[in-house]
Amino acid sequence: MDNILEIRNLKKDFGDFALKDISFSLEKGYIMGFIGPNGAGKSTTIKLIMNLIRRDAGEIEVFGLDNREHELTVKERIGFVYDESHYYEELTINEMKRIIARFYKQWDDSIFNKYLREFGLQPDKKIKNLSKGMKMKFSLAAAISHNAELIIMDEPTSGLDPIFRNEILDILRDLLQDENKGVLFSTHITTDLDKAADYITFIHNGELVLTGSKESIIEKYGVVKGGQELLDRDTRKEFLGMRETGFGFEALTGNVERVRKLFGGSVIIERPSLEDIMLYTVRGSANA
Amino acid sequence: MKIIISNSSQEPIYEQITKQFKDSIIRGELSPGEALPSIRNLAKQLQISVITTKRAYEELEKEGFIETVGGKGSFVSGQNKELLKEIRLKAIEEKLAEAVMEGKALDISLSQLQDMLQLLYEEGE
Amino acid sequence: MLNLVLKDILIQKKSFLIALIYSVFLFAIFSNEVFREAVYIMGTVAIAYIMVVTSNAYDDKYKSEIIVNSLPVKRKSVVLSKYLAAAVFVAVGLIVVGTVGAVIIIAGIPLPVRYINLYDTVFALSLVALLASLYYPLYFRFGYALSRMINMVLFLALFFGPSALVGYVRQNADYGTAQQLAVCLQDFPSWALGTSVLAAVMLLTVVSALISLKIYETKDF
Repeated sequence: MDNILEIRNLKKDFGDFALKDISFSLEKGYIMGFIGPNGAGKSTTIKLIMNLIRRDAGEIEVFGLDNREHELTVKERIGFVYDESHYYEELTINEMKRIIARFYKQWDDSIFNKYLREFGLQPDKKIKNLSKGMKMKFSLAAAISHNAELIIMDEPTSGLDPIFRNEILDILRDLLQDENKGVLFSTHITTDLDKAADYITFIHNGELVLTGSKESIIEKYGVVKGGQELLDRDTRKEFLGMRETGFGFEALTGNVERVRKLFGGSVIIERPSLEDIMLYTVRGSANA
Repeated sequence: MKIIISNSSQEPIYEQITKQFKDSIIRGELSPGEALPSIRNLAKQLQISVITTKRAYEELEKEGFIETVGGKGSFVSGQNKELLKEIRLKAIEEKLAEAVMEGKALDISLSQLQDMLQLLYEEGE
Repeated sequence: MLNLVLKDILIQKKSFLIALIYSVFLFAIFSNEVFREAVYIMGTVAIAYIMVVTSNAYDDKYKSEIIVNSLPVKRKSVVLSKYLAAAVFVAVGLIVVGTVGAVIIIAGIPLPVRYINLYDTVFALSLVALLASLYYPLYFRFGYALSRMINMVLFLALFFGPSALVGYVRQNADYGTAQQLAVCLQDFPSWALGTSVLAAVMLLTVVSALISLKIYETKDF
């Protein structure tokens, strides 16, 4: 059992939105990209892992431990970064750090200070005077200065420019030089993950669409391009989502081999980006 | 050694990596016993998934190009027969390719080339 | 849990300054014959109240409970720390008001001030415990903004309630019974009265904390 995170049949009903039967797991040593459009249920899932929300059913195990039964042990070993700063903004970076640090047995000031220097953050600056990117960097520094084994990030890159985003990904890769760590990274900006993620979990409308290694997903899925004449009721069923133009169609398939056999050389099949997979799937489910 | 990854290529990334490692080993740029970068470090430097580099190393190991020692990392194998054969084949292929290119440049047809090859081959016997 | 209390103190360093300034004003305005007995209690309760509300206001403003509950802390501790913090804020209030009062006396400023005493301490603590016991379950259930409104009503009720009650009793109960009750209370030794009030308030606090725990345990952030 080398799973750093395991979620089985997780359910939560809010009335107007429900998370339905989500299951996925993350092996230690890897980055999992957690993708889906806004409102898909990514934050809800993360909050359930952090026990900020009570689940209706299902199981959540972190480091092989139930996240509620072993709440303190589990949280001691998690580093969290949320999309918005929930820190007390009247405080300076150093004051806020002192508050957080006291809660962790394994807090290491030297790591924190190293990151502050690396990020160019001044410890005596008030949090409210930091830019969004700087706040995110502070959050990140605070999340990884207690030797956390699992880093959970909820949309850490939203609203940040590509340079910041790339820096964050580099830091995660650095962390993962230690193969006992793991990262769960939620985002709707999938280009961040095309490079960095080892595993992908994709949810939409509170339901699991797919989960697996990015490599196997990219191999199995494909963007198919061809002429309109190829489409009929039966062939349409082969696709998860489609875009038709006056000149032809572009569609996503979850079974490249099958499509290749079916259409042979009459279509072009391209390797999909995560964005392709997300866009076509969301479009497909809207049409269905 | 250098490794160049193309994101737009249809060839899977792990194959691009194995190929370039093989080339380096065959050309002797990497010599037997030499350590390869760690899976994680390579992934970090190439900015790709650990799974991809892991798979590339697994392929190389399966084909006998490298050996992985638990806890120590991966090393270029001592040359085995199959490997040497492959290296030689590769060299032959390269030379033939050169000849073909030269031939094409002079508008020499395939059958003419084949004749030449046959002649040379028989001469050697 | 102490870390959480400390957090509630550290996030509102300004409140200490406000408490100090408030105390000076308090003595300047209320040190007259009518209020001299109540001035320490009023000051302490007000300071504790300000500090409780301020710490919750910051939690609300930044939704910091999300951070707090993501740290290795149990929800139980979060709730109990708020009650403990209220007690600590009473202590802060007592120290600030008591010190300002003492300084006035020692400096010989001509105001009718006496030193703070045990009676003030017990009374202020009971009053804050009472207020907190009513306030916190509402705060945990309805959040900061709504609970603050309800709290205002409570606060007023607490101030005007007793006199309204006395008026009601005067008008409706027959005079004899009321007088008997009053005599009865007067006969009660003050330490016994104080102890029983304190005990009642403590009991209320425990019940309140249990309700708050129950509410907070199932809360979604």
